[in-house]
Amino acid sequence: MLFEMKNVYHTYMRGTPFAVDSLRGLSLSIPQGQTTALVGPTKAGKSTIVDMLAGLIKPASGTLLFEGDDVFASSFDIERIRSSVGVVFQSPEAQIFEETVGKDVSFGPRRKKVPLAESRRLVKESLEAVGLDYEDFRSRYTYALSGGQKRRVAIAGVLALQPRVIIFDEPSAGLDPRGRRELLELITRLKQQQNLSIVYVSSGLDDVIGLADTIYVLDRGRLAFQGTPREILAHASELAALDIALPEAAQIAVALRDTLPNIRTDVLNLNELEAEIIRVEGGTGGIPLSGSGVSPEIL
Amino acid sequence: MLEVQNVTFNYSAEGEQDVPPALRNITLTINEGETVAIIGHNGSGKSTLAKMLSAILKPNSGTVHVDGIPTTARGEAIWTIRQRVGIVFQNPDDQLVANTVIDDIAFGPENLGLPRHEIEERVQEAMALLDLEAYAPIAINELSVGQKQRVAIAGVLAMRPRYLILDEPTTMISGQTARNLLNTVFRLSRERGITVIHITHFMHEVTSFQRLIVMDAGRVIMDGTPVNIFARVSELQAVGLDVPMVTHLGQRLRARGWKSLPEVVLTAEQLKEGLAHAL
Amino acid sequence: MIELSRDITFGQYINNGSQVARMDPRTKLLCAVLLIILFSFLSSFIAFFVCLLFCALLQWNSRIPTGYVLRSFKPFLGFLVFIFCIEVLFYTSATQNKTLLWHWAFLNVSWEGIIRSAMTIVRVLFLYYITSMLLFATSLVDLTDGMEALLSPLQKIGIPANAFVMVLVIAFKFVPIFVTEVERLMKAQAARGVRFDQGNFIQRTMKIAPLLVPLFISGFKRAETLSVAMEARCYGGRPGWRRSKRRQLNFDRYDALVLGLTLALCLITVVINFVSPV
Repeated sequence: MLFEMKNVYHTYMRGTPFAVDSLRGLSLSIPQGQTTALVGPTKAGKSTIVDMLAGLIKPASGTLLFEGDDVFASSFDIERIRSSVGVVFQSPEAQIFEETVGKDVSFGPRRKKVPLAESRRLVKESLEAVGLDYEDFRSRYTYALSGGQKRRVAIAGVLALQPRVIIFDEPSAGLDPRGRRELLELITRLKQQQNLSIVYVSSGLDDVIGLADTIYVLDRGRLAFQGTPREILAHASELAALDIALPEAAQIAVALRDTLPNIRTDVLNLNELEAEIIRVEGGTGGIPLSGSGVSPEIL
Repeated sequence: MLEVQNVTFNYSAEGEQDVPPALRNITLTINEGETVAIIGHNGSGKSTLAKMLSAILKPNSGTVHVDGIPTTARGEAIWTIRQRVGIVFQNPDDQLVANTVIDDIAFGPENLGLPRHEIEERVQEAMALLDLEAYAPIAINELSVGQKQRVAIAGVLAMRPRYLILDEPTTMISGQTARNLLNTVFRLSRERGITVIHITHFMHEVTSFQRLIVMDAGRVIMDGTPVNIFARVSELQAVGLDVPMVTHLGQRLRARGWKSLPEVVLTAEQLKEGLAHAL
Repeated sequence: MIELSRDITFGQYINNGSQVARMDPRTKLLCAVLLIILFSFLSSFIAFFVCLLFCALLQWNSRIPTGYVLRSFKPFLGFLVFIFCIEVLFYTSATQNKTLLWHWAFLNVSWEGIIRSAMTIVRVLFLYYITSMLLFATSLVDLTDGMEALLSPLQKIGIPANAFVMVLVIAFKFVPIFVTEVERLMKAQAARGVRFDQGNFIQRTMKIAPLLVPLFISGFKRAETLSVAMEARCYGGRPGWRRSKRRQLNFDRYDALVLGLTLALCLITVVINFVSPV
């Protein structure tokens, strides 16, 4: 188990008149080699969890284990987290601080005192992994980049650390449909090629429904429920109550229930939705749905 | 009426090379009372067009007229434009000035130098339109992004504009809150005849608009009703956009023989009715 | 641990509905100015003790948690100690009437030096207290409205006092926003391995540098968007332009009481200042 959070509590601005509880007894586990999604509306505590997993803030109470060791024990070397956990924050501008792309991406290797040739290789590979040409981009000024490019450079900078797990904090925020698609393709590629563990934090289910192995749904600092993508879709009314929009395909299926009462709502994408409509309407053929046969909730 | 004639605009300064123009020779007219959505990928020029229409930016060449007044006018005329064209941006923190909700909504009318009783009337009216009466004395810092955005819209409505431009207003909000915001905006258009211009790249937001304008690389490439535009799927995909899943689904089901479905399905409701007819 | 917003508390209004918060801002500003002048002028410890009683009364009436206010002194306590030491060591009196306790070359520590330097520190503390309390207990709009009202004579003779006040208000509005942003920047960089808590003083200061550029850029962007949004709502200098006000400021009994008390304090402490030996 890569990360384990046990009964964690946290309060922002503790002791001031502005104090706000961000986590209230949260427990979850992030296994190695999988993609785990943390989904919840704003103020659900997602950013707090990201900060904790990155070793940036300490919980007020409760424990966080990284590979079985207590992160906030005095014997724990925070460098373990810094070199194994990469974080891509919401606004990539916050993460990029060197003048040129090459210098910024090489920041991680340089800090680890990696020899120059090796560092160059890492930078080249990282930039190529995110789809940016090494020769073209390495001497470009970071401040002259577009939002999408900055995001990729930030990801490259994290990849150059050769982390075992990458935490993405709402990475598709502000991206247009093409940008979002490219980002999700990139993450899927990274998952497959580099065998990374991925933690994806998001306020909606659209991005993660096809990407994640396990989804945790958070509500005001607590865990509401968890499960595989299909299991999550069975909780349609609870998700609506939390103002978490169902992914498009499931939304359509739910809307069609009046007319097609037997339609399953745990459809993950357009193909499954189409197949399901055909099945219910008694058409020919159809692609059977994979995954556990969880009966959809009656709304 | 908002008239754009052959407008070209480039953000770069003189001498900076290789920066393509943000707007290339745009010509279009928006009539009073229309609900228009302008869609395009990031960098297509849609926000720049929004700023052109509200006289925030002036064209390098060509003209923009608001109710006959050119946006390059000086003196009182430009302030008439500013009062008639209200604009709401993405991030409410960068628009809200005052500390409390009621004070921020009053900011516009105060700037117009209106007498106290009229300011009060307009503020109450704007708050009622956006369901903010209960929030009047609340500090803006304590509100959620969705609520702040409503305050921003109320602040603009208190100016009694004829045109309301929303520049990607739902970027920082999601789900039901975003939908509620759009429904409110439609209601305003119906009840008060305000011309609404909504800038976005979320296709599912634009199905109820009367007119869609699609932009790419500084040009207007499509201009028509949602049904007309959503039929041109491959063209939309070529410029980095796409139609909502419902439309794709409608196409596929029709191809399989469900002829009772409309040719271009815009919403899940339409799909449902179409399927119901088939039974 | 990076949680700046907890320690940086200067200038944030606490909306607790206390009488102090609801006072007419003109009275608050006037009293604050009077007290600032008073504190700058007083040189008697007994007088300051009476002021302390006044401040305690103010603190109680404001219903702002005392711990929170005291924590706002934290950032510059070290600096104050440093100033105190320098002042004491380099103290020279006009009358050369010193009782030396210790000396070495040109440095000396004398009783008078200690007393005078302590007085400076006390003065600074009181000034800071009154200024922070004003900002804790007065909303930004109250501040603008009060300042505008008090400065209106200047506006009438052509000095752009209103614009100046607006600039101040916006600057204050952004303080918490920037604190949050710096926090975010620090977290993002710490996650990439920058250790803000390590290194000597010079090294740590150097680490602040890469935070400043993104902060400035963000600041300029925000300023631009905000000014555009303000102009779009017709804020702007045009010939003959005058803003009206929704709010009406009401001077009531509580205000008269506070003003009276402040004036009384001034009178009492000035008298004490003249007659008291210390």
